[in-house]
Amino acid sequence: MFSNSKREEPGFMPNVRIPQNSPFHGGQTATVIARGVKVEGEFHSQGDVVIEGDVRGTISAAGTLTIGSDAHIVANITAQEAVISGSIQGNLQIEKQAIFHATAHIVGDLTAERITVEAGAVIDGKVQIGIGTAKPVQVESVPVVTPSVPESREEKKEESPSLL
Amino acid sequence: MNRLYAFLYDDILSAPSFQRTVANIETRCSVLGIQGRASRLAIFRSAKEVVEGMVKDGAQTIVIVGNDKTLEKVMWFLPDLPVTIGYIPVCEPFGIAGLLGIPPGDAACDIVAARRVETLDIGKINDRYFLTDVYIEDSKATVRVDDKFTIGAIRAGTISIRNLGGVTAQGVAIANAKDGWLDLGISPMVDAAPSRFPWAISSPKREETCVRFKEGRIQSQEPIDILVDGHQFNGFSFEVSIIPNALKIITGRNKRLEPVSSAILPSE
Repeated sequence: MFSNSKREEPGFMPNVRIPQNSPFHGGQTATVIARGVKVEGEFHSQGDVVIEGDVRGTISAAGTLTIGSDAHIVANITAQEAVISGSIQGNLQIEKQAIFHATAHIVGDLTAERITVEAGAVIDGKVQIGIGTAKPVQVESVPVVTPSVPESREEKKEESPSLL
Repeated sequence: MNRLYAFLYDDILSAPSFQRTVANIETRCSVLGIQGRASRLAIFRSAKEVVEGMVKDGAQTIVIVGNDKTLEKVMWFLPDLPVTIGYIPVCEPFGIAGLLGIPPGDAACDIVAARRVETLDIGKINDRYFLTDVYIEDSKATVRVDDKFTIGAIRAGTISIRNLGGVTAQGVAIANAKDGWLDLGISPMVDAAPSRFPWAISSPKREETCVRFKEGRIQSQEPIDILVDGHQFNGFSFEVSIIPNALKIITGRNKRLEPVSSAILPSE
C-alpha cells in the first residue's frame, strides 16, 4: 500500500499547485464542474453550482444552478434557480426562476415559478409555470423553438403577475 | 530547562550555514523560558519514536524546528498524541508558516512563547494523517464522494485534495483548515489550442473543478502515484476523510487560515 519513498523537490510549497484559473482563487462563489470532467451519481450541493462538464444521475442545488453551453447533462434536476445554456436530458424542477439561453436544449419536463426563454432555445417536453400561484399555467410545447418568448404571451392573456 | 517543551530539529540544520540561526533560536528560547529537551531527526531514526519518547518524558508542546518539510515528516502521526505543536521555520519552504502567521528565524520563538493555540482540521488518507494536501498528477483516477457520486476527468487529469494550503493573490489561504471540509480540485488535461505561431509552445489551458466533501475514495484501475504532504505513495484505492479539530498548533497573530470570502459552499 504505502511505500516510504519521499519526494525530493526543493521548491515544494503548498501554494504552487493551484492553477491560476482555479475557482478556489478569491471571490469564487460556487461548486464547479469544469469542462472535461464527468460526474456520475447523486450530486447535491448546499450552494450554487456551475456545470461545464458532463453529469449523469441527479443534480440538486440549494442555490443557483448554472449550466454552460458545453455541458452535457443526463439527469433530473432540482434547484432554487437555474441559468441554462447547455443540453439537458431529464426533468427540471426549479423553485424560482429558470433562464434558458439561446444554446439551451432541453429534452424533458420543466416546472418553474418563472421562466425566461431566449430566442433559439429548445424545450422538448411539458412546461409548467407558476408553481405556488393560485392558477398555474401549463404550456405544452413539443418542441418549443423560440423566435420570441411564447410564455410572455401566455402571461399577458392570463394576467398573471408571477410569470416572467 | 522547561520540561513541558521539547524541540525537534531537522537534520538539515546540522549544516554549518544554519549554526548561527540555531544558536540564536536556542538563546531566544532560553530568554523566554521555553527551552526544553532537544532532539534531532536523522535518516535512520524514527521520528515517531523520538516524539513519543518526548511525550513520555512529560512534554506537552513539541516545537518543530526546520521548514514545512520537517513539519510534514511528523504530521502523519502527531494528531494521535496529546500535544500542542509549535513551529519555528528556519529555511524555505515555509509557506505553511506564512499561513500560520509565524515569521522565520528566532522571531518565531516569541510566537511559540505567546501560545496562541488554534485547533485545525486534519486530513486522513488510509491510516495516515495529512495537513496540507493530497496530489495526483495526470491520472485517470476518480473520486467517489460521500458514497453518492463519482467524479473524475473524462480523459485524464490532475487531482488535488486540500485541507490547508494554496494562497490567493491577497495572500490568504484557499483551503480553510478550520471549516471541516476537504477541497477537491480536478484539472483535466486539455489539448493546447492551435497556436497562431505553430513553432511557439503553447501550454494547454486548464480549468479546475472544485467540490467540497468530508469522505471519499480515490480509485483507479491502474496503480497511481500519490503525494501526501509531499511524500509519495502508490496504490489502487485510498480512503480520504477529514477529521475536524484534530490538531492543536500555535499560531501567530497574523495567521491567514480562513479565506476572506468563505463563499464556496460544500457538496452534501
